[in-house]
Amino acid sequence: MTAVATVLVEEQATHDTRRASRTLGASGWVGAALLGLVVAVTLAAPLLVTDPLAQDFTAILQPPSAAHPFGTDELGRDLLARTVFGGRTALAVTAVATLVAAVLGLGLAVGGALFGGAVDAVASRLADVQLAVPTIVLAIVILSFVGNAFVPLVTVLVLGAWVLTFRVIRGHARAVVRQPFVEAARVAGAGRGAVAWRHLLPSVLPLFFVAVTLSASAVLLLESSLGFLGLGVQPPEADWGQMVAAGQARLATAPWLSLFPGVALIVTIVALQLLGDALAERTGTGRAGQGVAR
Amino acid sequence: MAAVDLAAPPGPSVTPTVLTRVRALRPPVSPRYLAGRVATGLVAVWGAATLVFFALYSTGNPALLLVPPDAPPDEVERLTALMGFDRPVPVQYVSFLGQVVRGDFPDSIRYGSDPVAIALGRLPASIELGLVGLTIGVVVGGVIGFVSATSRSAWLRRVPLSVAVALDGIPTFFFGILATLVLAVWLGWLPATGATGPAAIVLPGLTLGVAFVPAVARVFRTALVDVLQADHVRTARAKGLSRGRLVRRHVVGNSLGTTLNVVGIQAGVLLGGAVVTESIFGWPGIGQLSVNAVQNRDYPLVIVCVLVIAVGFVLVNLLVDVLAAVVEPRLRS
Repeated sequence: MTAVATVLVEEQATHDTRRASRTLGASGWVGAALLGLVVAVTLAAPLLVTDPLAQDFTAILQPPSAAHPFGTDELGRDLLARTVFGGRTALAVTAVATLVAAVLGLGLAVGGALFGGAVDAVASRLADVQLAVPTIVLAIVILSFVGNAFVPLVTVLVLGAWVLTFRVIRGHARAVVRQPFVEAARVAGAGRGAVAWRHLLPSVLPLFFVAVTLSASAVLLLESSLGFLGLGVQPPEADWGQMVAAGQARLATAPWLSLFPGVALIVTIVALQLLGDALAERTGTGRAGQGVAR
Repeated sequence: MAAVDLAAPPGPSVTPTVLTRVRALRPPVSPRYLAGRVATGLVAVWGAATLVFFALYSTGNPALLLVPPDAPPDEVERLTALMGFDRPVPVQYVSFLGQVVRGDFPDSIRYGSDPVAIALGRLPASIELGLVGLTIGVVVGGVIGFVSATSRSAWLRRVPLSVAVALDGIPTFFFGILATLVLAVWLGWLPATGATGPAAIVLPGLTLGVAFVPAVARVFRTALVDVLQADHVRTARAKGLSRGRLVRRHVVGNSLGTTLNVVGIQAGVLLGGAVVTESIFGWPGIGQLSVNAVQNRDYPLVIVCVLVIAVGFVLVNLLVDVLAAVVEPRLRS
């Protein structure tokens, strides 16, 4: 679908050498700091908060207070603990899916540049197919028939996100391979592996980090949307999207049930986007491929 | 004429072209272009059908999915034979594709009737919501993109776009929850759920539209900025064209093709947003139907919903491609 537009986006991603700045800039650092904070809190979750599954029927649906800063839910579970542990789930799924997707996209892009022709053609057609099948359809099919355990969930997210990395890196990798210094290395007897390791990877690495950061925000968006629809991580395990959905029925009487996990989600996504945009600015990538998966 | 902001960061390197004059009696899009687009769409639908088929078979015996979980074993066996699930997989694949072409599927488990009729019955509600959301998204996003590219005020160039970009960080479902909380619960201006009365569409439409605003605003702005830097715009400015006339005659039209095309890529995002939006507000469209079908393990209905959504997605893309080719002949290659 819209093959011309795909080309346009790719050109935007590769040939657009906009002012590349040396530092991350204020917004980039804010993003990095927020992300660091979220990751640190979720990693240290067991040390910081109580058991997210512990029920207390004497304290049901309490509004935020000193004892329960985020309030409690309909089973008397502490919402702060659930929000922190929910982040643990969401971020773990996101991290695994993002890394797999990014490495897959990188591998296909670099492989296409090195071997050219058939490999690149197949990978590009796969990318077109991926864009032609909406991710949400993919998610509904796989999660309903195969089930929503960890592996199918990550598979859906990977299938939705790998194209972003692929498109960001493909054009650049193809351009690098045509550079005279690569030709010189080939003439000097360097094999494909050596060219990939010594010349291609160092060159695409900055773009790779941009792609990873931007994919991560897209993957987290999709993961939480699936959680919200009841297709993602299942209760009683806490997960941000799923918690927002669970609180929706009590929006009028206990809005904190949806608000706190939702705000945590926004903070993380915005942090990833700020950092990703700043990294993209630094490498002159632009904001290509945004919104590929959601 | 310094009002046109040349200090704004350059957008992607899309070479602007002069819009060719529309000649009388010439079809807007060549049959060949149209045939190519339709073929791509058919391949996409075939891909979706294949995906459904293999997902169905990765579970072992699909007959188990087509009967209620408490069905007796002989019932399962009867169905396995009846549906031909005991035949070789390639044979079944061909017959499944035949089913897809004929629109002939086993009855919905939950509703006990033809799933195609159920799914198609939900389409009008989805289309209604989609049109409202699309209108809101295109109008708001378009205005923001236009203002941020052409305004003389630095404030107007920056702030609305920043708001639009910030919206990108809010998941659609949470925006829907926030809008419900503020507009329905706290202010009491609107009904929270359901499809009763004209006011009911405001919250879902707004939620869906807002999901579309950042993409439209960003892409339209980039396209406008690009065209503003083109040679023909400089010439038009040099011959003394007024600013409004310049933008109307030489800039906006030339920006639409790129915008439409990049926005077309986002049709899948809009579709995902529609599924989520329908689920938040209990909007009786096909998105909510498909999510409910998954939760009820109503597999015949899931299959049909997925195929109907895939076909809808292909048709929307086709429409966008044709529109883009009409406003930007360069894209017809």
